Amino acid sequence: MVKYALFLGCQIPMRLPSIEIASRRVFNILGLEAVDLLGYSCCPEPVVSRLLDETAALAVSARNLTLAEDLGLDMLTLCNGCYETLAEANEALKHDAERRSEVNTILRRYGREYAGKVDVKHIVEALYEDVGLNGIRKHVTKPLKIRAALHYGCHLYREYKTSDIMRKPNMMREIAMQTGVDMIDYGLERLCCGYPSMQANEEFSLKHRLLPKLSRMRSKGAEAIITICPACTIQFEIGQVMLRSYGFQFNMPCINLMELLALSFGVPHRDLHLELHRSPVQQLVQKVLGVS
Amino acid sequence: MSQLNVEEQKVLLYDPSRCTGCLFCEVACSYYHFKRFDLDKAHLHVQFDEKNGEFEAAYCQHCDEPLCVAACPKEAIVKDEKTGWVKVNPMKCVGCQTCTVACPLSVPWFNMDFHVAVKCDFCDGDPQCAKFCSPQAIKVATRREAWEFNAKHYLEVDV
Repeated sequence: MVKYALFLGCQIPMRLPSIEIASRRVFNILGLEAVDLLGYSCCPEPVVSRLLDETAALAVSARNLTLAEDLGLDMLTLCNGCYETLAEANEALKHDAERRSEVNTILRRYGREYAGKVDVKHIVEALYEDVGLNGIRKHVTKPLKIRAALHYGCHLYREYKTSDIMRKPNMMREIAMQTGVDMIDYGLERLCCGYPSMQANEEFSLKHRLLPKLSRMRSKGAEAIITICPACTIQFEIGQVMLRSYGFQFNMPCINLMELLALSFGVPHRDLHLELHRSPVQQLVQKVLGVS
Repeated sequence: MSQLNVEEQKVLLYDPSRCTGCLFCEVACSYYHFKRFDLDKAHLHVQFDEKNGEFEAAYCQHCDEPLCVAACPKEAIVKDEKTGWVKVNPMKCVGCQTCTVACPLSVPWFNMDFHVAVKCDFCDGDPQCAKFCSPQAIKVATRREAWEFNAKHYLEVDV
């Protein structure tokens, strides 16, 4: 059995617990052992926190990495932002001895030290590489007949192994295809959802990032959006509500890949608590499964 | 006499086929220079053509023979002889905006708060736009690499 230290991050347990529920169910079914990383903190956020104080941000990431190192396990993230933060920090700490020494000086005040023995993996890498598409497909008992549009999320393009930025997005696409969804190509898959620019300019973020994506998805006949990143999920769900004040009406369900997998594996939708979503995911699933 | 090997000069190189339009480059740039998360204050700007789904960016090329330097009446813009980076000295700038007009990309912009021209200064060798770009759509490259890429991408020829 493949075993990882599970880094849940902040957004999933606090704002999107249905993704955590679905992930744990999927891990059980696929035989992926995810050990909870007790005492973890925010990863921290990959851009703003590093801009504010790079050394402090690196020390926070390093502390999280030491928790996985204590367990002797590689770290698994469910969030694109956590992935980039922790993988970026890990690269810096592994390859820059001066930086590692500086950060370890801080960590030693708290009785910790990072030796650089951990690898950081995104969930799509673990599913694709450790379980494999065949391993996923054999558990699909309830293929989902949904016309869906994929959104990968910007941090998923961060690469350390190759220059091919589509390596992980292609994994995500292939994994999603195993669930039986009818994938809609809408041509703006790479475009950012607008979550990062929301912090600087709300109107720009909604009207020039989120709106073009939603409009194109709808015009191509998508019934749902598939995401993997919780920040993107929040942008799609809350952003649709916010767009109403600008005169644009959208109410498209935004489902996480882990929820999609859980449903296709036959996990009862009630167990996943899809009602916690801020978009009509529950209604879509009830319609597709023909249940109330 | 310049100590710079033109082909080896470090410049920014933008590949639109990798860009997602997240604008972390602009966020990082504005915070680094102004301690503000203000897209309008960034020294580079990514444009997205919603109809065709294409990206493009306007950013300083730190030209070999910069028109902004030639046009400045106060010698407020200088090309560093060692690094080749083109910088504005705000103590000398009178805010005439001639540089903005002279630049083919209108890269130097007029800062209304300070009444001077401001532009990319290459962040003293560690450009924040490149550092925070997840798909590495904007990166640090040599002038030679930038020539080769741009010739292939925009002119569809090999240098």
